[in-house]
Amino acid sequence: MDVRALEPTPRPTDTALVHAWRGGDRHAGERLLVRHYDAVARLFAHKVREPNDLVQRTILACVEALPRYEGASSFRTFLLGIAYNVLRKHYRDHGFERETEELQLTRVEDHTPSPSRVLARQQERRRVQAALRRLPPQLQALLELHYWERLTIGALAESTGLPVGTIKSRMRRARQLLERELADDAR
Amino acid sequence: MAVDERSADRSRQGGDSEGSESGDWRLRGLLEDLGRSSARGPQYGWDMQKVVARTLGDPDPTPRIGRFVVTGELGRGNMGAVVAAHDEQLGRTVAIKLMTARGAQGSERFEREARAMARLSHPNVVQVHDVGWCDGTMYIAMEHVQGQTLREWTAKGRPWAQVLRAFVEAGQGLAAAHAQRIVHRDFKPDNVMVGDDGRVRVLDFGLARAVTTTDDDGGDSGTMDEAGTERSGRACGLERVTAAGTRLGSPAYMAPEQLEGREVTPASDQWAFCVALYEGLFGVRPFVPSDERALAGDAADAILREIIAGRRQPPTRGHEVPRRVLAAVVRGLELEADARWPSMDALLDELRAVFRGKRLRLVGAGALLGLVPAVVAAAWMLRGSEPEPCAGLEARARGVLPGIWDDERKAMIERAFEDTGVAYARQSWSAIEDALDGWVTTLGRAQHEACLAHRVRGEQSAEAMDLRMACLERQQAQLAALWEVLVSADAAVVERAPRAMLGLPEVEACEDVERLRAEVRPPADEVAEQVELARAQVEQARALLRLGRYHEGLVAARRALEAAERSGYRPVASEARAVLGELEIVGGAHAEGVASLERAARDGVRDRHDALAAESWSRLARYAGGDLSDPDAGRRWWLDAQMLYERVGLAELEEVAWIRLQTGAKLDSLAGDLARAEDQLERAVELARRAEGSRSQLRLAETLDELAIVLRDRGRHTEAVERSAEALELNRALLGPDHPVTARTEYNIASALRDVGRFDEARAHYERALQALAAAGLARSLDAGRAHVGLAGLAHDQGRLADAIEHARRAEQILPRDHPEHAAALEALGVLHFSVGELEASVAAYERAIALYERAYGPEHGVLALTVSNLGESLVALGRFEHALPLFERADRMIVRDQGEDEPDRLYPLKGRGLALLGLGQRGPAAVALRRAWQLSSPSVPTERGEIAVGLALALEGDDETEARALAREARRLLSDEAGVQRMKGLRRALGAIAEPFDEIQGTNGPARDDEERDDGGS
Repeated sequence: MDVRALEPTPRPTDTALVHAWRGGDRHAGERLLVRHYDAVARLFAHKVREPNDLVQRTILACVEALPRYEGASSFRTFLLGIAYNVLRKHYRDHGFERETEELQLTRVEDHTPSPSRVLARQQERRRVQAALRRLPPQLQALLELHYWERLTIGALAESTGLPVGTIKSRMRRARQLLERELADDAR
Repeated sequence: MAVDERSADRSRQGGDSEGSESGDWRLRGLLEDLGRSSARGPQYGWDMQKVVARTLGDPDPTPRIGRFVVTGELGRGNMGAVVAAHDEQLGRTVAIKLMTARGAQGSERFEREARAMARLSHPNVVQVHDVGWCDGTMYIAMEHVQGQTLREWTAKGRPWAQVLRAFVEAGQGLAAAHAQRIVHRDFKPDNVMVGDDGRVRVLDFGLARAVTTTDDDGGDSGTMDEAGTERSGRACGLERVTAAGTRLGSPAYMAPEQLEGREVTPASDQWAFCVALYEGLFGVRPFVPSDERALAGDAADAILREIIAGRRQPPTRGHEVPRRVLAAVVRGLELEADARWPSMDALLDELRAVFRGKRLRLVGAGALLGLVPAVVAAAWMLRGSEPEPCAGLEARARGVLPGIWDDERKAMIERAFEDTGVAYARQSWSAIEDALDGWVTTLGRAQHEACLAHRVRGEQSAEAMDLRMACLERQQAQLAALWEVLVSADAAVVERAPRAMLGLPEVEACEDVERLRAEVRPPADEVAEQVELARAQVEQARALLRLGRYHEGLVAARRALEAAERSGYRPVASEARAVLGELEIVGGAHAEGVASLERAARDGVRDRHDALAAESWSRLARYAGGDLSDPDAGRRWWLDAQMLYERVGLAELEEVAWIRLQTGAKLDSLAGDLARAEDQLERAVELARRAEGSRSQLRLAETLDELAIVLRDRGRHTEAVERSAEALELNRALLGPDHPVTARTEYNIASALRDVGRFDEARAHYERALQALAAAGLARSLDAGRAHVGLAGLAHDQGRLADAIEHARRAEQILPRDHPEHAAALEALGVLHFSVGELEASVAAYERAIALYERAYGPEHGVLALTVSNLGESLVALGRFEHALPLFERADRMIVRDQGEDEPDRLYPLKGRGLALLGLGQRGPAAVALRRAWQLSSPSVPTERGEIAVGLALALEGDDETEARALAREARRLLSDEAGVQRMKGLRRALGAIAEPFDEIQGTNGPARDDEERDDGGS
């Protein structure tokens, strides 16, 4: 029955944690990564069979890239850019060089069972989600980073090291494919 | 500027990043919506902390919260994640709930309640251990309950009484919180756990208040002031783990005032409780929105409309729930809080009343009219003839108490027993069914007889009948209370139930009108009702005590005592105090328990509540022979009890007489008077044999078991085997072959058989005991550990040393590490390893055994002596003479201190000392020690004597050739068997060159010399 002091401790900012991490405090790094783990894991979910492997690779790449992080964008953007590159490399390594075509080959089954009765809104979401999952994973990831994690084109370009033009054209391609999938779906 | 205008223009179409295709807005909306919905609540478990830490090269990636080490995730509710953790300080497992606290105002009030919760300790409330903050997240560490939620539990289609009983327990938890001014706010079946131990516990008090109302979009903490910077440490690692709940409470269970956002009070909890109970009993919630669309968003409004319109769903047809229960629940569902029950306690009292069965009036000449079924009475009236006045009691005389003990109520227990899945449940049920049928028939006959004596035969006055009836009714209340616990049986209750039948009162005690008249006056009419209620609570506590639910029993007993004292009728307060005292003692509060029982006895004498006073002393005496282990006080209590029982003429009742003998025997054997203990037990056996019925048979089995143990202690092994065999046969028939009590009898007979050298039979019984324990799910119990110790000893006796080691190891694994018997297993292991020459393993086992004994008894306790000496012997065998010497000195000192100079056990440390000194080349002192050891040893330990003789021969060699030669000859003779040959080998190995002259002493090749010894000599 030990009731401790019920004082909330202030939560350190990302910037403070990055600073501490660079200063050699590994636990600060842990906290920082755990804080943004969800976003990274969500990016890999449904795209690869072993998302944990990619999470670990992202963490290692982040450690490596940390000295280069200048604080121009948020740490979250920085980390997600690294994650996106890890994802791309994963597909390259597995022989899917062209990032926009292999619709059938790279699909990972979605096992989520559909409930017997869903409301219209949920149905809509499900439909979009299904369509999204039919896109090539790299394009899917790009859409998610942009619309879900709110990374701008500029931030994406900066954190992935890809030219702005490339990001833009891929984004366009991703949207077209998604529209097509949704249209097919609605027939 | 032109550029700005262009970008503004673009952004209106969806921005540069979006491109400019038509339909972008829609797509964007769809995607963002999808993103939000999938972002709600993290999907990644606690292992993320580990993944991160390990990837970063942290050698100890265990996440911690305060002093708790997180071991895994238990689940996620809409309030936050729940993780399992280990409390390193107290060595227990806890569940930790993590939640994002609301703004400062909300959390402040919540904190107050959380503190109050941590102070609240009640068997029906999940204990809160600790509350704290980490990383802006609040955590609550609480008792980790193994079990299922009440919703899962009720989903299994249980009889209504079982459901009601569980809810009453949960209600007690709510009531206890209300007493501390804590309101739950979100009571529902998902917030109640039914533990595997059968105990029902409410959790998440007041948490609804602490949960955020808005979406928490988590990670971005850039708005935090830089001053918040700190060295992060490993404080708790709660980053991003908590889910952000959006819903406060569950509308389906919310009271109307809560749905409207008005003040929430204990009456709101009562509402929620009644909704849940209604659902549990009838399978449908009382207020269900008719409009399906309501599910989407405004469920709260839709439900509120139903409540206000009073559209309550009717109970499912064909249910068997008594109308009284339904009425009680419906009152809790009144729209206006004032119209509901005044408190949870009031509601619970009403619900509990159902378990007490039909109400009998306690006082007044019309006591029996209530028993005559209305239909029968009406028929008599129509016929215009005088009804047979006692006809309504005839069913009772056949063993049926309508509404208390009839086919329906029996079937409910049977089903509850079956539901536990315990292997011997059926047998256990038939044992108690027999016992209770028998008891109820006796009770019913007595009630019928009391009626006939007055109404038909006119032999007794109405006053006499009332006295007898009141007495019988108090006994009947015990049955009603037992039923209530039996119907919610768990495995432990199934195990204890048959034994609990022995405690039922003796119906005969209600026959002697003179005695009843001399006894305590009944309560005055105006408090009769209150007294009856208090008595029901006393009986509830007693039933819980008998069936081993001590925690709950303690709470019930305290409640009963309060109620009894409120009534102002002292005898019932004494009854409550007596039960409370017993519960305190079994719960380990010995001093309090003794005080309570002594006070009950003294007050009982003062108030002429003689039977209770006698029983209180008798109970005290019983505990003195058991938990209290105090034979002197026990004897005094025992005598007081006998004196009083005799004075009031109850001493000859079977139950009383049997307990007197059994308790007396316990006290005698505790005091070391085994002869008298045997005599009393023999008489108890006779007593139980004379009587009939399954209760007497159970008594007989128990007494025979105890008698067998006393006989073993007296060295009368053959008789012990016979008694054990009879007990075993009885228990197998009464309780079933897999009942843990039967298993214990198997164990006892096995030990007795081992004593008389019937090893194969002994082995079969030990194994049978283990099988039964395994079938009962007790493969890792204390008894199972003991059986393995027994098997180890047996295997040792039979020379199967490898088997012996295996069993000793199993015993060591099973017996709890802090239990003294664990040390016994280790000690056995040490001896066995020594016997097969695994000396290092033997040393390790002894050392652990010694450490355990030291912790349990202190370093100077005599129990240590032989273990210490054994350790020394293993060290001698390893040639570590200097290490061994102080051990022998320590062992010898303890033996001399406790048992004197001439204690034969001294031969072990003396022999060891002698051999160690010999090993060190000190032949003179070695000879002194060995000579003394020789004097103390007897021919019953030939191997020890042989070893001493070898040592002494070597010590004397060259000084006294004649004696040395004689000793050497004797040694060869003594060590000629297999064990002796082994010892001789060991000795040669340990002493090396020092042992060499032994062969020359006699000059011939003795039988102890083998060529193969050369191979392993000298190491």
